[in-house]
Amino acid sequence: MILIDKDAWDKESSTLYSIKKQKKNGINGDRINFPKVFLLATHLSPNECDELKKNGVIDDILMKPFWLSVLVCSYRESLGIEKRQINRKKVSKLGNLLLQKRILVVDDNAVNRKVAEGVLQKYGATVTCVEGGRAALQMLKPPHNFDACFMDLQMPEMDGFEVTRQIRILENDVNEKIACGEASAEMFGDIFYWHIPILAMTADVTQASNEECKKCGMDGYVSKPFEEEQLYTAMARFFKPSSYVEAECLRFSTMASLAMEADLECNYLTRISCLGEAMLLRLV
Amino acid sequence: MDKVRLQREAAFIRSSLLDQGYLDEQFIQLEELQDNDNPNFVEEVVTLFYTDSARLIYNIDQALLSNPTDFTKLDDYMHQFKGSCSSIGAKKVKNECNGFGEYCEVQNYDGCFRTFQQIKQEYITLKKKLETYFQLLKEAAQIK
Repeated sequence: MILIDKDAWDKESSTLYSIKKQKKNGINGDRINFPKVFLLATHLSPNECDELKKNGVIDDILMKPFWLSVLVCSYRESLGIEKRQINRKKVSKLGNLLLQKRILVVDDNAVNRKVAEGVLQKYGATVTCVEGGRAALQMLKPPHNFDACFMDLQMPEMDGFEVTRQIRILENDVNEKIACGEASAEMFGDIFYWHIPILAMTADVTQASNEECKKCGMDGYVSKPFEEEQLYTAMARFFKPSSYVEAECLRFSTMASLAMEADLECNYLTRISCLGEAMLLRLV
Repeated sequence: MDKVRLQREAAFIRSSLLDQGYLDEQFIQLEELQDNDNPNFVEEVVTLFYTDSARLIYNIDQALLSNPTDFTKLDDYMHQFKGSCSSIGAKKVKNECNGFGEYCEVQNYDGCFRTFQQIKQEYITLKKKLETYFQLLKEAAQIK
């Protein structure tokens, strides 16, 4: 493949001339075997993109900065390979997000517990499983060491909503005591404010569940069995990204806001957001 | 019997279970969780599934025999059973369970009863095939 920066493209040069010529000739002949030409740009409107692709020399335009996954996708597309989800090893998508995180799984179903544990362990988490609300309350009464909790909703003795409500009561109790000086944070592992992320696990993702989840103090929900992307989206909110990631996110959001200021069309913003997503996946 | 032949037979069972919709993507996810640290993960989960299902099926059978019928209980048991099926990727059985749920909602005893016989059939078929599958893998592993 040939990668050409837009600034270089705009300048006349003999190298560029021969690439353009050969590509054009190549088109008349064997299209597949000629190297793919990608233009790298930072700021182009969809119309400009279309114009540039019109003469057939450029196979695609990639916005800078871009990541390996974007390049791979574009290259595959240019080869006419259908867009298929590259099924990488489980580890790559969630990256290090769950590495060494201590997670509590609350589910009355033994099979579900085992599978949830298997999945989370594969991502590097340390998993504890309990069967029901009572055990969960024992585990999550501050102070404790858990980083997150996955809670089944439909359980016989105490459902997930009730368990969560009670956990929040325990936490609020402690938080108030610390705030008013009745207790010191040291007594509670040096944590001033207790709020463990609790995510509902539900086979039935309905609107009603979501409202109820929020009402009782849950932080979100994931489907059962786990779906990698959804798991990532849900967990990324809680686990602090590294400062490098934060810097990249800032760069990306600056790009996005510039685009919005320039009042560019929707599909350009979609491109940016896809790019942003690819960035984030790469970063974590 | 020779190792390769056993493995091929096992692979054939696996493919047909996936093609015929007895198993779905979730089963493949379980296979991907199996590694050197967890070499028998899939079989362990499936074995747990049999034990758990046996209990639930018994409970549902009993609940269907009691008079008056406690549809809430039936629904609870079925929800559990469906959840287990979902976790291991037992697609066909899980789909039959949906029908049962609907009959429960409208308190249609006959519908529940009939559907449950169907569910049990599908479950037994799946169980038999999976048992053969793991048996073949085990035999193959023992050779050489």
